[in-house]
Amino acid sequence: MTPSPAGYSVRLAAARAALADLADRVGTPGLAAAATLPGLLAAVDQHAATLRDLLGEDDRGPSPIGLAGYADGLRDMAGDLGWRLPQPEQVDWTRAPWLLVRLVAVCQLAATTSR
Amino acid sequence: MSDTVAVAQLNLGGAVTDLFRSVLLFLPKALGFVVILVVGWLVARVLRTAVDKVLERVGFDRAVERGGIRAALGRSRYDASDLVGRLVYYAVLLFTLQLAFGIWGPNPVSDLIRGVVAWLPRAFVAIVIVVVAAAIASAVRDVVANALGGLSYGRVLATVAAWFIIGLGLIAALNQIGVATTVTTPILIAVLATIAGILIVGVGGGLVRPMQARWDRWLDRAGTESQAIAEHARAYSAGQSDARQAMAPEPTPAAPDAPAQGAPAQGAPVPATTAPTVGFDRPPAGYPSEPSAEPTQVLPTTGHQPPTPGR
Repeated sequence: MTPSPAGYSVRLAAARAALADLADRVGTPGLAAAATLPGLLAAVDQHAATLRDLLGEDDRGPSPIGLAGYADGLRDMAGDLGWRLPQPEQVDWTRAPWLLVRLVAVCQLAATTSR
Repeated sequence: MSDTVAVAQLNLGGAVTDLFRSVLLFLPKALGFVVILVVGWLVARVLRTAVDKVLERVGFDRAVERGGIRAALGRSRYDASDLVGRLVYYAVLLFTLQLAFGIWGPNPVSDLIRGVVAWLPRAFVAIVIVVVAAAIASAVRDVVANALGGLSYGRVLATVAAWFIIGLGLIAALNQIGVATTVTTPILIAVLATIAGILIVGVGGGLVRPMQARWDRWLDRAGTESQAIAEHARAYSAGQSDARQAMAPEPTPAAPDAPAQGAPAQGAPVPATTAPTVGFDRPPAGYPSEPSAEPTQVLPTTGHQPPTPGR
């Protein structure tokens, strides 16, 4: 029996929506830039591997709920400390800040995980 | 001697006088009794005939036969107006008897007749109950048999329902006329309790497993949801911790090759002051750390330790 609990599916949908929003703001331009910047791509890959270890469970990758929660925590705390998400067109991707690369990695994981 | 004869004659005369007196006192009563009986009987016969004729003239028989009574009366010698006339006849006769025996003052026959007269309305109600119950039962049988005509057990079901209703009506009628109440009521209760037990075990027993499955689903759902909540909270605090590390004002060059302290704490929320759990030291404030205008250059990954293998 595969349960489809209402509360869980609502959370899942909310997490997917948040990740889609993040992909629009950060992930899509970031990954597009990484396609032309191998260094950025390598950094994103390393961040993604770290996140997979950090958030994923033993046998599976991180779930959308975990990824969205991580991105929320990251942005909330950074926002409390004075950091704002830059506009995508204003980012110099060759000098992208650590937090931004981290968020791009979150989007990459969200795009690649099947859960 | 003649004295005694005279006395005896006198006594005999007194006795005869007494006899005549009591006969004379009795005769009017007996006469009245007989007259009342005869008149009552005549009145009863006349009324019976009159009721029969009037009802036949009015068309009572046809009206009754349109209902379900015809089947009930099919095997009797009377038609409906006959029956009503006969009822009137016996009722008048009963009242006549009551009146006639009333002449004799209080006596057992009067008591009996009074009891019968007092009992008659209940008997009438009982008959009505039986008739109505039979009509309802036949209607139910018709409806059920027609509605479930396509089913193999439709006729059986219809018959069972009809007999059930008739049985209820009979028991109600018996209760009404006060016959065997001590027998019928326990039988009724036993039958109803049997039906209730069958329903409880049959219907309720069939509901045990769906309810069990529903409980399983609910508990499963609660478990999945609490898991999702815990996952979100864990990831959120991990994100907070990482952001705090990244935003720390002065990136002290922590040893990049330092292994992770212990196993990554998956279950516990990450404390705010510890480094990110998996082999990842303090990140630099910017990326890349040194300005480089060359886009194709392999960007330095200082601060990014390779991911721990073998997870």
